[in-house]
Parts: sequence; C-alpha cells; structure tokens
Amino acid sequence: MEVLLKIYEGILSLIPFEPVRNGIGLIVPTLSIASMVLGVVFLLIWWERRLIAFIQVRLGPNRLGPAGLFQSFADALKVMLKEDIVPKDADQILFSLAPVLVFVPGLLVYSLVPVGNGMVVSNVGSGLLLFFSISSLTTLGIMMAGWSSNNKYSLMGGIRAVAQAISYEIPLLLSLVGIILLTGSLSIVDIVEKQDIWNIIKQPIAFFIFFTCSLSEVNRIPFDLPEAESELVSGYNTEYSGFKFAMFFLAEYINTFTLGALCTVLFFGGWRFPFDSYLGEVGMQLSNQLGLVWFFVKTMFFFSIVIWIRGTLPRVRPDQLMAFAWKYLLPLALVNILVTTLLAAYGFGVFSR
Amino acid sequence: MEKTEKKSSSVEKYFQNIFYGIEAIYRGMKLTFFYLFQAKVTEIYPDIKRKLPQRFRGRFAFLYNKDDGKMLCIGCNACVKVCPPQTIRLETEKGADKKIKVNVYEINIGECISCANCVEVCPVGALEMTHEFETATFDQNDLLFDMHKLAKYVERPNMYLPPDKAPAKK
Repeated sequence: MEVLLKIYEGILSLIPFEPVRNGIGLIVPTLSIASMVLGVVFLLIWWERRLIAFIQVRLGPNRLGPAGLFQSFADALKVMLKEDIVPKDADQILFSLAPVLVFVPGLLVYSLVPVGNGMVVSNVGSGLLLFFSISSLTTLGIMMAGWSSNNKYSLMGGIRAVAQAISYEIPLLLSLVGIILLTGSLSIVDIVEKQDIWNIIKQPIAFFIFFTCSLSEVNRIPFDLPEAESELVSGYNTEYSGFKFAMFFLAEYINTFTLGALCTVLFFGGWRFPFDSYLGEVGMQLSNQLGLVWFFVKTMFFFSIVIWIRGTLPRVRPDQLMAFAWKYLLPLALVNILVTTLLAAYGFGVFSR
Repeated sequence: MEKTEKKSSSVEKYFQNIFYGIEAIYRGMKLTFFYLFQAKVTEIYPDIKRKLPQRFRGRFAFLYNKDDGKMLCIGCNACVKVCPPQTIRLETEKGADKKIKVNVYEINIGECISCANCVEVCPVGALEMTHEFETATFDQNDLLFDMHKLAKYVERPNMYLPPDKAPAKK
C-alpha cells in the first residue's frame, strides 16, 4: 500500500503547474475512495443477505455467479430499469432532493476516515465534529422524504426518524468525549495514530454506548422504526421507486458500513495491526503496508455483528426506544465521562497520556 | 394479613432492567450464533434433487413387454371407469382373430391427478406410476400423452398376469 502511495506521489510531483497538481491531488483520492465505497456496497448487500439467511437456516442468494456474488448487480439493474414514479400531490422539488440529501452525506464522510497510513482525503483538525455534523444531515433527508411524499405512513416514518435522531445523537457524542479526552485531539487521524493500545481496552462502556447509538443512527434493527415494514409499510421511502429508492437503499448500506468504519477507527485502532507498537518493526510494517486490509477486515467484522443483531433482536417500541436513550444510555455516558476524567487526571495505568 | 412480597423500589427496578436486558440479548445472540453453523434446510432443487420415496406417484406409464414389444393392456376399460377426472381415453376394436385390439390409449397430464386408481384397478398390471413429475410445458398440446409417449418396456414373462399374481415357477 505504501508503495502505491509513493508511486502516486511521484507521479503527482512530476506535474509542474502548482494549482493543477493540487487539483489532481484532491480529485484522485476523492474519486478512489468514493468508488471503493460504492463497490464495497454491492459486496455488503450480498454479504448481509447471505449471512442473515445462514442465521435463519436458509442459503440466501446462490444462483448468480459464485455463491450468488452477482445478485446485487442484478438487483441494481432491475431497480434502475423500473419506472420512476412521483406521486401527483407530492412536493416535487423536495421529493427529488431527499434521496440525494440522504445519499451524499453518507458518501461525504468517507473523506474524513483514514483507511490506511496516510490514506485519507483530508485530515481535518476537528474531524470528529465535522464527521457527525455531516452524517446528521441524513436525518434531514429522511424527514424531507417523509414530508414531501404526502403519505401518512411516510410522514410517520419521518417523524420517528427525527425523534430517534435527537435522542440518540446526545449519548452518541457524549460517549466519544472520553476518547477525545484521552487522545487530546479531535482529528480522526490523530485518534488512530495514538492508539498504541486500542481504545476498546480503555473505554469499553463508551464502545457499548457508541455501538448502540450508531445502530439507531443508521436505522438498523432493532431501531429501524422509521422504516418499520410491519407498521409503516416501508416508512419514509414508501412512495419511492426506481433509482430514487436505490439511492435510499445504497445510503442505508453505506451508513452501516460507516458505523463499522467508525467503530474500527475510534475503538479498534483503524488501519493498525493489533498491538503493532509492541511487535517492533514487523508490527509497524504490517500496519503501514497492509493498513487497508486490516481496516477492511475490522469494518466487515462490525458490519457482520450488525447483521447478527438483525437476525436476533426484534424491533423495539417507540416509547422503549426513548426510555432506553434518555434513562439508560445518557446517564451511563455521563458516568463514563466522569470516571474517564478522574482516571486521566491522575494518570492511572493505561489512561496516562 | 401482611404482604410477604417485598415491593422493589424504582432504583432496584432500574438496575434489574439493565441486568435482564443484558441477559436476554446474550441468550438470543448465543442462539442465533449456533443457528449460523447449522445444516441449511434449503434444497438447491434443479441442481441437487432429493431422492424420491419408492411409492412416489408421478406421471404413469403404459407398459409394453420387453421381449416381443407387445402391449400388456387387454382393453378392459376398468381404468377408464375408475378415473376420477375421466381423462383416460381408450378405443378398442375386435380384431380378425376375435381378440380385442387397443387402438388408442390417451391421457391428458394436465387433468390427471396422479391418484393411481388406474394402476390399482388394472387386472393385468399394465400400468405403472413413474417418478417423473416435471411435466410442465409451454404448449398445451404437449400435455396430451398417447400410448407411445406413455410407453415403458418391462420384462414380464407371464404376459397377462401382474408380477405379484403370477404363479410361482416350478
């Protein structure tokens, strides 16, 4: 991986004109990470369907290609060939804008995630804050879709999405305060580089809170109230079809992959090999050369856990959802901050900075 | 009478809820994890076919003797009378040697309900159920099976008696 980076930098330095070089230096990483994420999504759809089938003692898609790998491409083709219906009384502009507003932030946040050593589009100083500001826009898009559809089920889905997002964003961000405290930086790249010991060892409770809240943020089972099939037909995307629906569908998978990526980056050392700083030169080389592989393996692991949870837990009731966030997760996050602060202040064991 | 049951306080209930929640999730996740590695119930049907039971009733066959190629049917009309959907068509004529000759034996697979009454009632065992069940076609006319399409050649030393009723060999 480092070799590739060096070749890329070498080619880039050959370009004489400074603005052109900067422009290409921005476009190439952006395009490569966007295409990587979109390519991975097709794999994710297949993996989810396959894994959930195995949990339910079925086989899942197995006809098209080796072990049904091309099934998601066939589905994508089918969805694109479908008619794009816009309801007569729907708000035309908002109706068309909503899928874009859900899709784009999901893709945009990957510019802040380091997928390897030095493999990040932009290393923003307050990256973590920017990350969550961008990803919160998704909720706006969902609300927009629910509102503009002029359908009561859609509206219910949108309302639920907003209520859920407001409740779960708070413990989500509070759970990360401990990590910011221990790292001393809001930059995601810094957080990864300072994880000689993975953050999960220092912050297990924060990880639990973060994972639960992320599940709710990306509307996965057991928190998939905005698109609860058995209650709201299909929730906010009831009226959508064709490519607009595909965008919602892809966004959901991209967001779930983001969940895994964030868990990896913030708690499990990102692109770093386990305990690489204790393995000496070998460990550092493993991390630097194969960073993308470790990142991907870890992220897929968390994505699989999300599917595992989907195969196990039933959907919660809206009032249970609210009670869980405000009565259990929020106090737990606050206690976690308090304890972490005390431990960090007295430099206790692994908590010393 | 005093209440023996102590009412738990709200604080106790709060921590109890946390404990129950964790326990329930742990149990559920454990169960689904084991299901992940269980043998799957799905049959990959056209690729791997299940072994059919011996007495499976598919399309039925009209038997011919393997040795001389003569049909076993004696044209007694028993199967025509017993057929519930009345789909068997049997046309006979009296030959020159005053024996009944079967001209037409026809059946519509689309109407046949695979009840095997005809097989049961046949006095000479000239009909047999096969294991063939994939009889769907795109053309309605392909469902009409005549005696040549239904044909199956079997060894039958004693022509006019089914194997179980044949006299034991001396």
